Amino acid sequence: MLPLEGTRIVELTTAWAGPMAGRILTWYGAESFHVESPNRTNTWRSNRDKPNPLTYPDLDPGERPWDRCFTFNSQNVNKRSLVVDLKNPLGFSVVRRLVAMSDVLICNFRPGLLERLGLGYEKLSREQPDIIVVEMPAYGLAGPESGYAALGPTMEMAAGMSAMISYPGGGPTVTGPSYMDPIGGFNAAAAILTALHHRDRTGLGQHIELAQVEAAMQFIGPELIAGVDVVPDGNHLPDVAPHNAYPAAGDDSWVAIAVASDDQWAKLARMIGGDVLARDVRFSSLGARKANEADLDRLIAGWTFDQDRHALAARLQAAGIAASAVETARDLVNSPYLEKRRFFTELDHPVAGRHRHPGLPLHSEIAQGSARTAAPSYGEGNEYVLREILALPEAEITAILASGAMATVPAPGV
Amino acid sequence: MRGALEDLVVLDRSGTIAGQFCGKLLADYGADVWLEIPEAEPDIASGGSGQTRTPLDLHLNLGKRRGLPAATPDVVLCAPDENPQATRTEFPVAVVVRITGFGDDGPKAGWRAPEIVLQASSGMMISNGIRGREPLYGTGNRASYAAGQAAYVQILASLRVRAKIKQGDIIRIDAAETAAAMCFPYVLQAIYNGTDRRRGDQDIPAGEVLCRGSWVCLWVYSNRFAALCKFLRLETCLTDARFADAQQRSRNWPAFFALVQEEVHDRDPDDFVAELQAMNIIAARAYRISELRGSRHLQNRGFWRRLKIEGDEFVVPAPPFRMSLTPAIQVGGNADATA
Repeated sequence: MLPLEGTRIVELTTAWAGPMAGRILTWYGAESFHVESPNRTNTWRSNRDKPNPLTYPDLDPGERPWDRCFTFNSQNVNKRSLVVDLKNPLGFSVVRRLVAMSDVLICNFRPGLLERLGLGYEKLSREQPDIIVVEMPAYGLAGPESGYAALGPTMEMAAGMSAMISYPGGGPTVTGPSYMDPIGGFNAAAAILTALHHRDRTGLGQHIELAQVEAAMQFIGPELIAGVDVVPDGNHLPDVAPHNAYPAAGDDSWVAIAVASDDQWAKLARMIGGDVLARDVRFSSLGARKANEADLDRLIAGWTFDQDRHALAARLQAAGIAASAVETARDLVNSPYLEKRRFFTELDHPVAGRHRHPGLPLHSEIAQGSARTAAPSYGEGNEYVLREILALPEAEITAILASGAMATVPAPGV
Repeated sequence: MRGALEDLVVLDRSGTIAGQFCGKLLADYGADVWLEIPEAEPDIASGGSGQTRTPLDLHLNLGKRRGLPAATPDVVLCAPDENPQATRTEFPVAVVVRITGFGDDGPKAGWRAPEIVLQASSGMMISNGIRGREPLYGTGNRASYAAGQAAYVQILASLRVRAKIKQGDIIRIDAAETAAAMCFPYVLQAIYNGTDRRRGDQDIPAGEVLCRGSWVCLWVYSNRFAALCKFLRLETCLTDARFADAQQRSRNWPAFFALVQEEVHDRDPDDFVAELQAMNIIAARAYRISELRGSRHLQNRGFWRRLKIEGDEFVVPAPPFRMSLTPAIQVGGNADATA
């Protein structure tokens, strides 16, 4: 059974974090309308005037590149697209009426947008006390930096994480890239499900503020509580050695190895250099291995560099040593592990074609979600909303469409 | 009202960061969470040995009670060696949650899964660091926290179905699969056209510069390039062939940011970020942990909470989201505290 069947969501979202929140909810059966602008295309639909071939199926932008971009199409499965100009009174009235028939409104633009549009929680809740409104600005709705714009990498900097990640003596590192966005997406979905749980019992909706930087800081909570700066040392840790990624056969090919005890080291040492190395006092204890870590890394790299990273990782794991190939996107596509988890679902997109799509790691016996439809084409849901959801009279539909309030092709130059 | 989840009783015997973080979120929003420390060693990051008042314990277990609940639990976060089927037999309408590294079946079942292994297998780590050097993993236990967050989401989804069909559930979350799902979606790009993106491939108009004592990351989209050059008195860049258009700039960002670096090395990082943001240039300071405690913004927002436990004082971060009707539980905390 899909747990959110019958729940309707309106998304005023862009890029990754907001759409991922909607994606998680639609995974569970919610009906979501991703509101898009005809004048300012979602960056994840790419730039129509400068299409980058790398983002499209078969490297071909086609006639509708904005419908073929992997970024948008990855995060908007199961959704409908409503392209409407909110500055056009007729366009706004469409969205306002849709919100009135919905359960949840998600916004991941800067603070104040909903109020400016007349869609702020205070106003909406007077007429719709059961509405749930989620705003997810990077730095929160109030505070000296709340007006700052952000992207995943800058949020990682602001959250204190990047300064914890670096080569020795180097600058801060952003990861992922944009690792903060999916954290924000999951947090927003969690907040909405929490509010729905409360609403099921009380009939009341509420307003949720999700400051993405603060929410992500939960992931380094112990470090924040300790209050002591982490001095980054590449992949090294104070209490585990070896702990690093080592070169393997192939270009930019690596295997990660982590040895958590002297016993594990003895096993690894025998695989590398037999009993002689296992007895080598330079490495026989954690303290010794830390003191000789550069030599240790060189020794292991000299052993791994010509080996297949997948086979080596499997061999090490079989011996009880934590290891993994440092996998690439292509590895994941061909991963027997993810195949076993049914991570991918084949979906038909009318413009991008039929492809396997990555899923979500959420597995349940009674409330299993799924990817059911590919991401929507630009404005695909416009007439569906006018006719099926709002059930407007034909004359009004004609007037709205004639006004230019809606579109199925982005305006030139956006 | 105690919180949005005040009707829930949770038994957290997971013993892992992932499970205990999930339990923490449930407690933050009102559930009655009971903590037991299992003896079995997990395959993913441990939540600790039960020692109280450590930073890890404070973060994961504040607001939980230790022991067993008198009431039948609605949610059970399984111990590492716990058979979820048996637990469901014991509690037929409970939502039983098992979080592991690589699952109980499949080609990697039973693999040891410390953080670096989870991140390596996720497709994320290969994006980090400098091409030619070892890829960097994201310090901390982010795959475990993400798995806990995923478990929280699935628990609330399952409880909605349970309310209708009056049956319990078994939830299975793999930290490895969660980490893969948190990756930038290059996997769909690989499916679309066979390309295999990694470090150095990203066409990103961004760079980092070291201001007075702190690094600042800034993104220079094409429509802000001229404004930044004028602001930093780098007008010569506007006529420099290396930076003539977006394509040229993407090839020459290191050279451009080297010039920016010369101009900003003695600037105050907070002032510089504020100036850039005022020009609609996205920027942020790379805070160190110790600097975050002093952030005027976070203090102003009441992000830090000061706790006193048996005479000792601790400062902890606020829960992840703020709900207007059912605010998160404050365990002896003072939202106005400054660190």
